[in-house]
Amino acid sequence: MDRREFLESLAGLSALLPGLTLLPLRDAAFAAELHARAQAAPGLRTLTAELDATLSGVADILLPQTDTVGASAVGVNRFIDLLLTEAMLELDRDRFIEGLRAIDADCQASHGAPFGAATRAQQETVVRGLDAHLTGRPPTRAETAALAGKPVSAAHGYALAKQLVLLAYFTSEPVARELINAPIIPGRYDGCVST
Amino acid sequence: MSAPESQSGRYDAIVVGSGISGGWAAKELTEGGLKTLLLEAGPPIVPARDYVEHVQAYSLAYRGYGNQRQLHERQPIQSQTGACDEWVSKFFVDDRDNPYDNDPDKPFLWIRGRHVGGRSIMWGRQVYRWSDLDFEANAKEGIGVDWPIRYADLAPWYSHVEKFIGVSGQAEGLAQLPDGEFLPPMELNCAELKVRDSMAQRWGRERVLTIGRAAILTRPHLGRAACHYCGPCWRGCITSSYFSSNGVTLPAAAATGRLTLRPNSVVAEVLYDQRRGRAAGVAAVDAESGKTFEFHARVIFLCASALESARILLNSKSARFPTGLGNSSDQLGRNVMDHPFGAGAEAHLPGIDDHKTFGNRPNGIYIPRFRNVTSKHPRFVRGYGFQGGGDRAGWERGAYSQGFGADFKRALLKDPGPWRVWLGGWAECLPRPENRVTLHPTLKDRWGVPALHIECTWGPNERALLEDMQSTAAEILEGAGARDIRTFNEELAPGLCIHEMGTARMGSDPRTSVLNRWNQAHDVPNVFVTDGACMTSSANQNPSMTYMALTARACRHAVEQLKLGEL
Repeated sequence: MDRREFLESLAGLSALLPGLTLLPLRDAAFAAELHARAQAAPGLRTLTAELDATLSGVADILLPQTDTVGASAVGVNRFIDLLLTEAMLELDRDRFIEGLRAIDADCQASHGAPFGAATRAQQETVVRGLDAHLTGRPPTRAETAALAGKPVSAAHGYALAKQLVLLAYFTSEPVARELINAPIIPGRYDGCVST
Repeated sequence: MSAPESQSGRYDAIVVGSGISGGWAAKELTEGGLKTLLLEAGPPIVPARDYVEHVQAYSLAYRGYGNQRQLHERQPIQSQTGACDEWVSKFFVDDRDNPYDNDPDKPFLWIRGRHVGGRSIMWGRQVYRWSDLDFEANAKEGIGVDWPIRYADLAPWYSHVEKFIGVSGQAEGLAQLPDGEFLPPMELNCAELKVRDSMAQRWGRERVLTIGRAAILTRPHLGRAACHYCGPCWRGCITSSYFSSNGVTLPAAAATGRLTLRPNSVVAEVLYDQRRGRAAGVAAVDAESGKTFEFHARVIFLCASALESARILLNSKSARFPTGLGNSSDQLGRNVMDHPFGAGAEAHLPGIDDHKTFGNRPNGIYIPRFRNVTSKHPRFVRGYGFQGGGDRAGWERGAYSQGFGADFKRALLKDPGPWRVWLGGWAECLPRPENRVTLHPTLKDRWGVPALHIECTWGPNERALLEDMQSTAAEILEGAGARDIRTFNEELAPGLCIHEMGTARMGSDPRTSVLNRWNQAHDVPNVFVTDGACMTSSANQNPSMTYMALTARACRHAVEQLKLGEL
């Protein structure tokens, strides 16, 4: 999978069917956004304080601050909030948020607290349990279709969050420019060089 | 619409469409001495403004994720193709302004670019010659009609095209995929070398892996710079290192002083002069003002793309041609083909993790057709070529794999990940008359031109080829020592390969074909169609270079015929 395929898989384009009736979502979306903004955490437009705590908590466990920047330092939550607010299909946005809530519920059931209020050790236990469900490859079309319309499980919600957290982190300017720093104009192609 | 304004008498030739075929027609006709009007339906392209190949994800609002809401609303069809991304969705049409129709259970994806240069900006740049295995297949198998030409007719024109556009590739001496005039090949990478060598051991010259033959310069060529390996060609190329009309043929045409390029000119029909039995010109709508125009010329070249050219001809009705200009055979709009693809296998290739690549090679590998070349396959006719390649998994692998924390982050930042290889087949599609486009009775585009109803499905031969690609790709990868082999068939709808063709086929018999051996309408000799519409069969090779060669050949004929007073 190259970058392009990755982005396509994230955007769920393969699930779209041509000729699909365009839903008259505009007004409903506008009302929903007003509602969301009223509840959003400071500086965010869609994520509430609780949802942000869950997402940011997961993000910093996935990609913690070390000798290199971590997820929070590059504003992973702000970029995902932007996607949720402006760019994601409403259906995908709702499922993403439902997934964060499912992670919270999972943590609540195991540790008696929502993810954002749990201890770091408890959060890591939750992440470890959910991470074990990942298969190492994107879901097939059939697998995606089988999940459609069903409630989003904590494991599925975690998978969705991990995809966007990685996208948000690795495409951020500090990470792409300073840490990955691939030449934009390499000037040549070498097919097989020793490392 | 107001009365059409006449722009008569100023041109020898009109070319409709400025994409790969139209750009070639403009170059060849102007160089042949003809004052040529090139009508392009879409707006001009300004490379310094519009090409974005060096723009990084972090410079975009959504960093490549794209505004899915907007795409879903305005480009639900176009965004099915990967190139219609956050960078260059602007190079693809607005599906609401450019509607078409198909039965819900027969999806067809029509991917279009309407701007100067057309899809020559976003195309895949793979260029392969055909051979007589392809040109003779219909006749030998009794499918469709016979091509009116053979490889020998086209070979010099392939050379003519290759020398001008610049094609990098490796000569292999294979009869089914003739070598061309090649610039130095791009390098295969470690994974591809491993697969190539294992194939050579097992299959010798029967199944050969070679580097893709690409219209991308590996050294400076005719004033254009060599590729600098930035990677995403489909976002444009400020150095014109790959072939596009904008960077290569249109400048050559303009240099003659005989080209008039008129963007934003939506051609609605070809005008027929019943008295002379010739086309008189074309009627067009100005896309910006909505005003209608008539342009007159001695010869008309339709290069608007296979379905658009068919649409224009179907819409050109007269007493002589009530079902569309040049349609006495009833073959106009029929025999739609596209290459079945999206099936194959992918895997990890262990043992070479101590080697890496440098630079972004905008090209992959090619395994020329080996089915039904020397022996007959029991389940299908024709064949497919594999495209694909090897690469490292990159940070994207982390999105679906297990792991978190400091070590996970360090690995994704520092380690390019395991080597992977994928192979996907591009198969031949058989011509079937029931795969056809017709004018929709009521639906029209934004400019009032009747829209198409498209009816196109894969047949049993295409499905058998898609099935064989999967097991055969896995067999090749297994032989190379690959692990975690996964076969796939994405079951893609026709159209998505963006190789649509066949709607005005060439043939020797005016009763069963639309165009003659010179791409000239049997019924109306001063109308030429040289885009994908002319194709009598599809072969499995990427078709663009064959369109270029046929266009150049047809232009030479038109120029000669005009000089002789035959047109």
